[in-house]
Amino acid sequence: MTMTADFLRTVLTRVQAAGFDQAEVIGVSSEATEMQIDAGDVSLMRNTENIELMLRGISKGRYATLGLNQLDDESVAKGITKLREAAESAPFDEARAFAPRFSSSPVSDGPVEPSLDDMYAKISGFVTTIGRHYPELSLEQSALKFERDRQVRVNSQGLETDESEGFYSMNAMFSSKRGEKASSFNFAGAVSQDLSKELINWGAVERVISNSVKEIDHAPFVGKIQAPVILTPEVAFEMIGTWFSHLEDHRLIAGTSQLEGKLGQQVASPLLTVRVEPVGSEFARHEHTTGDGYPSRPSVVVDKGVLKTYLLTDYGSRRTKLPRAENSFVNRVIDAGDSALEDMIAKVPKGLLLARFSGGIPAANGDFSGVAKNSFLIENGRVTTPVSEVMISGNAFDLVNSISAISRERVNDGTTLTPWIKVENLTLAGG
Amino acid sequence: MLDLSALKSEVVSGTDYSEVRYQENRDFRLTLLNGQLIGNSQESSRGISARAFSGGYWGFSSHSSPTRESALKALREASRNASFLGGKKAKKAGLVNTQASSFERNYASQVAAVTTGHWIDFLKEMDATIMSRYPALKSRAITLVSLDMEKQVLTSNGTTLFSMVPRAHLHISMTKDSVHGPVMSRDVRGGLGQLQDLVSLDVSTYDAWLEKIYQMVSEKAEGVIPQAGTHDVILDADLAGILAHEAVGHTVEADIVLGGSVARELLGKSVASPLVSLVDFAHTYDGVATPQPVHVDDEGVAAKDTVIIKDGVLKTFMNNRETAHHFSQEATGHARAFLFSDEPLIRMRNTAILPGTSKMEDMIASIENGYYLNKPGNGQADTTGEFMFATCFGYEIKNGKRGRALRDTTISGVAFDMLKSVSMISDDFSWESSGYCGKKQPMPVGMGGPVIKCRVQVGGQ
Repeated sequence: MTMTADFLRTVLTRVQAAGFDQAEVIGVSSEATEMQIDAGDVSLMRNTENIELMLRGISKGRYATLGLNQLDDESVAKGITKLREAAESAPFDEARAFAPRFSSSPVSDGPVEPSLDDMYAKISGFVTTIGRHYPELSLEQSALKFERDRQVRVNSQGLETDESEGFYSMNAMFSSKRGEKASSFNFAGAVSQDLSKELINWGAVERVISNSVKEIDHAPFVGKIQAPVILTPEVAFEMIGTWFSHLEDHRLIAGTSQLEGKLGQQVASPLLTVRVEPVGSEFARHEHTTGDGYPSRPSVVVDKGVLKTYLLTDYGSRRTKLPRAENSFVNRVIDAGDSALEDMIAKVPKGLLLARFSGGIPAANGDFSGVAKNSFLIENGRVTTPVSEVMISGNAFDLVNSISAISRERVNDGTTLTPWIKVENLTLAGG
Repeated sequence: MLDLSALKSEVVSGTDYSEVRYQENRDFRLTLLNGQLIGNSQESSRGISARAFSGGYWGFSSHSSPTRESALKALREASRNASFLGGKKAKKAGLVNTQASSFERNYASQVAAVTTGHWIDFLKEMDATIMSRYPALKSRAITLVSLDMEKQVLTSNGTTLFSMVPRAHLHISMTKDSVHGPVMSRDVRGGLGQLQDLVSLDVSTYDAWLEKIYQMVSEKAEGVIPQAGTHDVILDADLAGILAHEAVGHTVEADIVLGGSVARELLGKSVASPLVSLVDFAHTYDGVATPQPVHVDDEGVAAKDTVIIKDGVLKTFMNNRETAHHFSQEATGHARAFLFSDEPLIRMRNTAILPGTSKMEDMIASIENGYYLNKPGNGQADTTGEFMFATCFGYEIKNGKRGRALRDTTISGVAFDMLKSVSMISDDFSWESSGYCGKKQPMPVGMGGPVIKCRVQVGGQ
């Protein structure tokens, strides 16, 4: 049985016949080919094939969802029975509904088939380049992967979407070593629709790799200071991530969001603008339909520090009676600032260039702390010693309000476009 | 269900080593947030995979259709993938061989399953109890979650395995307002077994537990942030377990060692206080099944306890067949895959620091100015041995006595320095088993330990 719209319509009819007022069926078929590096050399090649069928139903306001990866008649029948049982016992929830019909044609993005010889040439070339230019760097589990997915959705409201995409992704994990001295592990990756560039030139891969070698000479940070920190593009979205979580379903439904009721208000530094470009041509992957079945559209989340939208799903929106997001927050952009990175660094008398944050999940009030990894001291306007054993702490809400400069330079890793961001007054402690 | 043993002749042909695996994962999740059922989902994922080792390379293939034809196709494709890489460049690598064995173990419940409806009624009753008893709460969430993992493995050296290992947990979180903004406390119960084995439908059996979580969030609302810096601390058993896993365990996984882990140079050397012994248990501790029992791994290797640190000395790494051959060490059953479509990786199973002889009250009394930390959050390791993990609750210790409660913080250190600072270990022990270890694939693991006294970096003001 293949994953066609006709097949899904048949399943939809069966779900509706089981007593659901509204129903939705989503089928995803995926194929992937991956070449993997272990312990510094190509070691494994794999191909995988999978099918997923998601059944969703609402019966008199009672909602349930069930996933399976078998399409035979018996498996589907059992799935529908379990879905029915799960929904029957769910409490009434007036916020449950499925997306209405919109005009949608089948969409296909990216390559259809991988080129195995090209994949091998790129990944073995990457190993060779590392050996030649960065002999102190050890590649751990790293991979080049091609994926091709097709998602078809049909629901009782007349909605039908059919989207396919193919793309390559690479991720490298590594550390560097000289004698008994080693750098912290780090990772770099990016997504692309083609294999035209060498892997080391994807995203920020070469900069992160060359820094890894410099980080062998790390020294522990001693003392405790309040200092400015420049966030590299690799860590910028993560450091602001807690702040975004206060715009999402869970916290807004729970009533624990610190940003509820702040739409249209200044909630961050006027230097910060965050937008989402779901089908932006600068990105390797595209979202045409949101996770809950609405057309995905560009949006501005924060405009010069003013909150423009929450990041609520359709359910979150109905539950909280706040507006729904126009997209699933994929292909994120932080607007470039007007500072040259070099000038941003030159203006820091003592601070940190933060490249990776190994921290605890921040507290409900935004307080965070963790270890600054793969990071360098900035002293008298220059990037100097790589540091280890430095704890960094602050508050996510203070952090976005303390942004004092954003670089003109940005990094595009295929799914985000991000500058360097300077924030003030984080606590650095070590020793 | 497909009988893999019928494929014996196909598995042995054409490659240096091959294996075929049938696997099904069954997930169940219910989440009640402030009385609303925001999560009501069940998911099943099953299929066939095959892996082949030929000419020093691995080939892997998986298909979701669990049929004999798919198994044969996966075996052909795995062999073809290994040959593709071998055809590009010659490579020297080998595997250790092990004795063929046959093993079956099913940890499925002997108690009848409870319907989703009864679980939802249980959650609603518990939520109503929390709401009526603790009206000062700003938010509450209750989650029931279970994962059944069923596997059949057949290897080319003749080993066959059938296992069904379930785990189930009940999570509760409570959030309260404070002058510092909202604070949250959470706790979890569960472990090896299915929901009906581990969770009673009688809400009153949880009275003391609910009171404890409410007490924590109330004290935390009045709590302080620690002073940033290096301190003497008492780490409760749950934290000792995550310490064993994050700070030590990852650095001695042999694939991480090959990737540059600092542990490579430390084999046979003193890396910890002589008080410290650390073991990755296969399936049994103190005569009882561990939270994540592994009897035979996904490469068909019989699982044994791996003594990593004995009396402070680093003894061995954790290996799969390939790294055991590379390091001339024993393969003790660490190769595990999360989904049918995943290849086995070197994973921890049930990693624990062994108990000592000290008493908790003496340990606290021995600290003039420090912290007692007792609820773990997430954690992360490093090839350098530098680790961090979040702690979600604790107390100041002043002049040998418990002081004010603590809000969330993070602790860090360099594993093999910190372990040398361990000066007391308690005589009790407990397991924590609700988390997933992340390493390309997620994986359920057990983490255990006693209470330990040591010096670590504490994040804070």
